[in-house]
Amino acid sequence: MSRAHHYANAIIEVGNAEGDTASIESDLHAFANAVAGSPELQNSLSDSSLPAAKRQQIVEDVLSGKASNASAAAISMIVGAGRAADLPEIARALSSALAGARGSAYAEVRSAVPMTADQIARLEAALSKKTGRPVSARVTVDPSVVGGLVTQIDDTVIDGSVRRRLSQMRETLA
Amino acid sequence: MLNLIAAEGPNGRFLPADIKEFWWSTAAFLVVLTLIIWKLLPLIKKAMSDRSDRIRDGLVEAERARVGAEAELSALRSKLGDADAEAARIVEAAHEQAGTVKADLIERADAEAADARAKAAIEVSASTGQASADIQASVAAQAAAAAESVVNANLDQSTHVDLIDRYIEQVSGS
Repeated sequence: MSRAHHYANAIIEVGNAEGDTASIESDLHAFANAVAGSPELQNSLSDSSLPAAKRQQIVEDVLSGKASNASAAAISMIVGAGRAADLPEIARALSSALAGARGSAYAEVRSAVPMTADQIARLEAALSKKTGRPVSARVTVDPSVVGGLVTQIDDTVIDGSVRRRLSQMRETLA
Repeated sequence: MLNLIAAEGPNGRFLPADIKEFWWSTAAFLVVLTLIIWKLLPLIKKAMSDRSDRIRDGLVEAERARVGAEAELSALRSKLGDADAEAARIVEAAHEQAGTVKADLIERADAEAADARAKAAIEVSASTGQASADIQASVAAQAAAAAESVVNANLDQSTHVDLIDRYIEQVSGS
């Protein structure tokens, strides 16, 4: 079991104690996306020269009024432990563990443009058909995909992005 | 008889007129002759003998010198002959060595020339291959960049929707 799974299990215990697991999951993904989209924030939270209290203060300032106290505490714990760079992986592990507890699978989907609810539903149905179990998908907008989708379920990646086709074309020409 | 001869008178031819003068002369002659025989003859004999000895010694010495000279001449001739043979042998050895060195130099030069030609051929081949690879990589990069520009320019909302729908269909059908 990876370090991310250990953090995910700890967060689940906190969420179960607070009765707020779903919002922690949602807030953790949102904060991980915000950190990934802000190199300045990412550098500040990953700067080991900064005291843990200072980094946690930054988290609290960013999440103030935007997340539950349980979410802020969980994220503050991760950042204070110097694992800010692992936030996306911990969020993915958390969603995967929660989905597993519900008897379903968690799919992380990256798309170049926002997906409609209908597209997400059809994608979840298609992934459920493929994996043989219910799938709950979380969609992240990632312009680097260029077009199409990239889906990760557990350790399986289904890459149907334009970025991959361009890379394949570049390799073929080289 | 002598008295008779002397009685005939002085004639100026054989005997003096005074017979006593004859006797005294004879006696003197005998004395001188005796002295000569007694004293001078041994000296003369000794001188002659010494001279003969010196001549004989000289002849012996001359003969010895001649023999020595002939021996030396023979030795010199022999040495000269040996020197000629040695010189001929040295010249022949020098010719043989020169031939060997020449053949060795020619062989080494041929080998170095062949090695240089092989290296040059390899370098030419490598340079050609590298240039071809560089050109191919450059063309590939330019083609990929052009393709990416074209793709980005043509990716409108409907194309994104088509790409997502096609992805969902592929996942569902796989």
